Amino acid sequence: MKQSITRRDILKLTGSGILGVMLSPLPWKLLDDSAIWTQNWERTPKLSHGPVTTLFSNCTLCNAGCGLQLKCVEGRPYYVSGVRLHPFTHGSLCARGISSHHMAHHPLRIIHPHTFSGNAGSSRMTAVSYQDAVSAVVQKIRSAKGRIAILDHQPGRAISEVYRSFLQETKNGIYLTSPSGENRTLDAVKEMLNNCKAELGYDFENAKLVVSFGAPLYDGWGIPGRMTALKNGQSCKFIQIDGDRSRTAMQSNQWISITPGTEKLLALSVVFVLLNDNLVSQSVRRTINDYSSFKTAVAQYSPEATSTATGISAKVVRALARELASAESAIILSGADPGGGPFDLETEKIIASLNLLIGNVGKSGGIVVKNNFPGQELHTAQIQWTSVPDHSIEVLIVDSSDSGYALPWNLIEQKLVEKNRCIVTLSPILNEISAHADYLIPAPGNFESLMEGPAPASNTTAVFSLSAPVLTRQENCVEPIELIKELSAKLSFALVIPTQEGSLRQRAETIHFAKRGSLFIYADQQTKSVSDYSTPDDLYNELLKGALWMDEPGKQIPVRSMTLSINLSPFFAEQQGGLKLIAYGWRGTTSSSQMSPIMSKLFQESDLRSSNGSVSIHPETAATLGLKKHEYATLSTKNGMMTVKITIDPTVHPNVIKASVGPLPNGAETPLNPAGDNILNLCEVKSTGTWRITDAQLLKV
Amino acid sequence: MDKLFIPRGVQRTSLPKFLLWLLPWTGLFAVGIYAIYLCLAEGLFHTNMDNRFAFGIWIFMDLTVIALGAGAFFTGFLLYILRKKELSAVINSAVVIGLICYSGAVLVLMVDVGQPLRAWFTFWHPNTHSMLTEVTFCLTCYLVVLLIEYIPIVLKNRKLRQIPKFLVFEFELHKLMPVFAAVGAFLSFFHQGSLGGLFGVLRGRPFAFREELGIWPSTFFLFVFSAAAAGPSFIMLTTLLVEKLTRKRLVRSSIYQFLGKLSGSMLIGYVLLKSIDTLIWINSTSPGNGFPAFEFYETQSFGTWILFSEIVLFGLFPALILLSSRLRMNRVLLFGSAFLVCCGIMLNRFVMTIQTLALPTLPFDEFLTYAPSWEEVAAFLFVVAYGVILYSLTYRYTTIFPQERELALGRNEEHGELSAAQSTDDGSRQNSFSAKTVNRTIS
Amino acid sequence: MAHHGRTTSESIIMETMNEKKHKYGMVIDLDKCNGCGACTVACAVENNVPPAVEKMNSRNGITWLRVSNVNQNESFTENDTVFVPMFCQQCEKETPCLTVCPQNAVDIDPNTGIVGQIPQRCLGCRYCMTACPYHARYFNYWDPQWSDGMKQQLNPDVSPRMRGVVEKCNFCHGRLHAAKEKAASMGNREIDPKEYVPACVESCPNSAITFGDLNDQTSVVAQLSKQGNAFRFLSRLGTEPKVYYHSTREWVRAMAEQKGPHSLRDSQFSAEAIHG
Repeated sequence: MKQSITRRDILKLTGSGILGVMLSPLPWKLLDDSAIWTQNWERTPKLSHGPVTTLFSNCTLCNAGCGLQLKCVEGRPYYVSGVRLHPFTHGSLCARGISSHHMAHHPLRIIHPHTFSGNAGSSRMTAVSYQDAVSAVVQKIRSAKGRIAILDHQPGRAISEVYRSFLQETKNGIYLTSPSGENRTLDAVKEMLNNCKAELGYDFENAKLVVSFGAPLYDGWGIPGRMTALKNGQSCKFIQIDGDRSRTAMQSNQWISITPGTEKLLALSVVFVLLNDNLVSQSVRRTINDYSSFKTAVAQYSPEATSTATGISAKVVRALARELASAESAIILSGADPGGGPFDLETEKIIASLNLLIGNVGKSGGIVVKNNFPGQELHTAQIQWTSVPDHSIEVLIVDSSDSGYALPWNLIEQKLVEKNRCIVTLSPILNEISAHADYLIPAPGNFESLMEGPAPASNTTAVFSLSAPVLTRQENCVEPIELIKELSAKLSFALVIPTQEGSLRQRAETIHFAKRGSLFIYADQQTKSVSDYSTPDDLYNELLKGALWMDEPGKQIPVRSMTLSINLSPFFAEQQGGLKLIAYGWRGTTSSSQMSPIMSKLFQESDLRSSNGSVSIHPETAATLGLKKHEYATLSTKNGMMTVKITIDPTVHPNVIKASVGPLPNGAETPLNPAGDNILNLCEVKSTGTWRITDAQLLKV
Repeated sequence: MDKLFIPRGVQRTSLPKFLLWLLPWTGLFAVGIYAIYLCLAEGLFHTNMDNRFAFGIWIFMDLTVIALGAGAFFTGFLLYILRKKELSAVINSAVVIGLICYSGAVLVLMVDVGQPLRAWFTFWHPNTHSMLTEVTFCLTCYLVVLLIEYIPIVLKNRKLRQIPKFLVFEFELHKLMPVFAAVGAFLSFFHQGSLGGLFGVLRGRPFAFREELGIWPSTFFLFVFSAAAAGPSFIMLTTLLVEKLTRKRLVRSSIYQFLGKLSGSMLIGYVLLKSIDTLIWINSTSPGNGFPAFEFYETQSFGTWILFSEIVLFGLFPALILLSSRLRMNRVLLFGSAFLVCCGIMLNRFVMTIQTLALPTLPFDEFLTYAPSWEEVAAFLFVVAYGVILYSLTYRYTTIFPQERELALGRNEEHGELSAAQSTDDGSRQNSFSAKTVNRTIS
Repeated sequence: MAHHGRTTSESIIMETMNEKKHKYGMVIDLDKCNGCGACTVACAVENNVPPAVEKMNSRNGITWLRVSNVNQNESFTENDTVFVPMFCQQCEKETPCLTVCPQNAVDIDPNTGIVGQIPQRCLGCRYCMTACPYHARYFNYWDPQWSDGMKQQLNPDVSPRMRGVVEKCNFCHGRLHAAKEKAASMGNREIDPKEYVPACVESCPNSAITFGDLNDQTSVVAQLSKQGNAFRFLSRLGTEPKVYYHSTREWVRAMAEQKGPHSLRDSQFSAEAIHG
């Protein structure tokens, strides 16, 4: 039977079809499935569900050396926290340490050796083979007429000794460390103690008074956990002398607001009062070799004479001097802001001299003498960058370790020969120096290799700790000691350089042999004496599992002789009006350091910390300059200019442009600072070794 | 082919001209589609919204177009329930505008939410305490009602009427229309209100928070009233616009008078309620929460002028004009007032969304500003383009305005008072003449 | 069904434990906080919050716990500063975000008082964000992005959120869950309070944050919350937040009670906010 399809049929079919589909599970299933898809799509990563374990280690990211507890899934750390009863850190960590497990997986991680051509920056990076890079460096060292230098940001480790011995083999070696850091005052004290060979430290725990000249004591200085515990313990009074109401100033017992750049005047006035009010004891005075010339030198710096410049009344200065002299035990230490750098050498020395004048060196609660590391020779003060002749370094090898302190490229460049120089950096990321290097050798990432815990300079005893590899090491990475070994072999140096593990085992052996000190074991939070370990291997393995070896406290000997030898340059002449650019930074977050991308929470996703390219000015200053919050302005100094973003901050001194030496704006994850965009490049590095203050101008764009 | 679809007895422009008219709108439409694609496929970072400005131009637009589209429910309510026969002249137009506004709003809302594929969860796990649940339910249902109301308009098309089934369907549907109108009015009443309630319940935003009347905050009722006032005004304005663009008369001026009066009477009620509400808010609600109300107006550009504009300039002023039968006769005043009413509703919706979010709550928070990204603007213009295109198509192929044919033939009782615009326009006379001829030829 | 609220194992634990009612809360000593940022970073690491993408800024980034720097006034010598950590205040009464969510993606656990957000059910309408007076809710404008290696280092106890949903502090729900599992495995009905400490509390070097059960009158947190110098932000809204602050400084307490936003006009209290 033939039937033609009518329009009606089509309509019926469509209608019933729609109804049928709606009644079937199909559309509803589709709806449900699409929603399930949004809950499980590929864009959101899947979690590992392997076994969860806990490991213990030590942080090697700056020379604080904090103890770490790592929660791991399938052996990979996912959460880092402190070791609660750790003797120095008391379980606290900084934000950088908390996110330290990410660093090896930084999106900008370098995993191949690179060479650079032309100006600094990543655009001129080309991959190179490790052997080619080594050969080129060997060639360079052989033919070098200038000096060969190694920059070690974490002195005091086993590898530091390797560096020293390697440099001794070269004709003209020079061992450099970070120009800033908490060892600045200690080194100045060592020099004044007739350049003695000793290891010094700050005995904060027994101090009754701490006077800090701009050191960010509560904001990442020294061993942050130790400083926090001291603050909260409240057994000691903290006086902060700071240009602005910094994080440390606001938490200190007393804040003395000083006109930035006049710290030396204040220190001299304190010295003046100590000397002229007979606050220096006879016993101390007898040990000073150049007492009279010192007294003459400071004669013109009475508190009354300096108070206009410093902005501090003579009364306050006299009270401070008397408080220092009468304190049962006191420590006076100086700046070295992680971004802003140290004071000039002279200021550092005068501040250091205060410790000697009140007789608090070699005494409990003051600057104490540590025992030397077992089986290791003592060193004099680190070589100051100021004492390195300009344009003298031809080959510079930069160790991958990090002090957390910024190092302006201007300063390094000043010391390098102008032509045919060779810079080799070992680094897991393209940091600022690497961007200027000739060869960048990828160093193992954090937690990727066996590392030695750094030895904090401010500590009262020698320490030794290890950071065992937790993550799989990237294939082409080179440990610094391997590079030195390779270079040494190719240069046919008569050196026996152990492996990284070998060098650390040696240290464990010497400790075991000396039978000195004790181990704090992280896993059970117990202390065990070194003599309890029957073999060096046991000791080593214990350290590898997460422990801290602490030496016995050193024997304190009173100071017998010191030479203050301060030649004062005419200071008042330096004083000029106008705005001052003061760089500042937060330890470990400057362009020299690596950070986890998650640090964007502080620098980019909130305004808690400022990134590079952002400057803070006082509301009054802003009003004078006609600048508003978040506007852009041109910051110019003798060195050049840069567009900066304005932040209004009433804690900043009205005459100051406070500029952050942080990560690049909107790119907290970018460790690369192409030359020209870094605020440090605008800072004038003075011959006195400081880049703290620079005359500057700020103009609305 | 195109000609076969054009209704009998009316004049429409030539197809190429029509297509030329559609061209820029289609371009805008396409750009909008691309912007929407970006937001859906890559994420809402294409917008300039952020964690504090979580609502932006889109929510503002949604609130505005839904208020302007309120003409559909309100006209339907008056026509089918209260039997105001005069309104049959604009009901089709009101329905089309309503459909455009509501569907446009829902479309943009689906882009605005982060996970549109989960939108149906609201039906599955509804939170009955949430104003947004009320909005979602009513909006969805009312959109269906509008679609049903729109079907007869389409089915009236000359070509489609040839299908007997459609004709029967349309006839049956027409009989049911009062039911739909009633349902629509009910639903619309609720979601207009709930849209106001959205902000009135925000305890954490003292600028928007209002006392409750029954289970709804006062903004619920204010939104209903203001939408009822704005709906007729928007119909007036759109009809006028279509008249100007097509250069012919589409409704009798008595209709405009009626709509104006309607808008005015709703508006005066709204102004009264808004004033009482504002006074209560200033004197009790806001200070009760520890936020002296006038401090909200001390920040930057959002001064008390906003309050003045909302209540007096865009409220009382046009309301009084629209209520005066003498002033209403003046076309400039009539349409000017309608325009002010629409501006007022936009300002009110702007205040509720943007100003609410810009104002800080925490003592250390700051007043924030926000500017939409191009993607947000494009999506906004997409709705405009979509509306213009849909309206143009509907206008061309159906008789949205039942009076159009009569007016075109000049057979209307108000013949004597042909508007100035038309009498000076030779083209329109030409049009009506040729329409007459065409009609004769056909018959 | 497509969404999952609580996992099955958790419901089992909750049934077997027949919990007593807790009211978890915090007291933050603002005099101790020096704005180091450890809490913010620890929170992000613990809760699998992704790092910023290039275009993120302080307005569209995700910081469950955000520390704002608040200044007393503009005078250099007289100015004082306080750092205020701000996050979900876990409002107990008329919880603003709870009532507005159209699809019940926000819930309050009656046994803990914790306001939870169910990302799998969230529509991303952001109505809860406009409702929150503390601006403590964050929207995923981007897909979460980690490097491949970092993806392997996510906390296995916390599901990462997808793009287009809202998230916020939940007092480290993953840790509560883990503590409950541990207690259940040991046959205990109650968790050991030491086993449940949110990441911010654990990471604060200054021990500025005290966490615990406000219902337990013997707990430190309950006692601190009743101290004379304890206060809450926007308590006048009547939402009974469970996060208390503490400061001996009068101006800080006055600032928290600052009526209205007028103070901002003369930028007396300046804080964050850039427009990207």
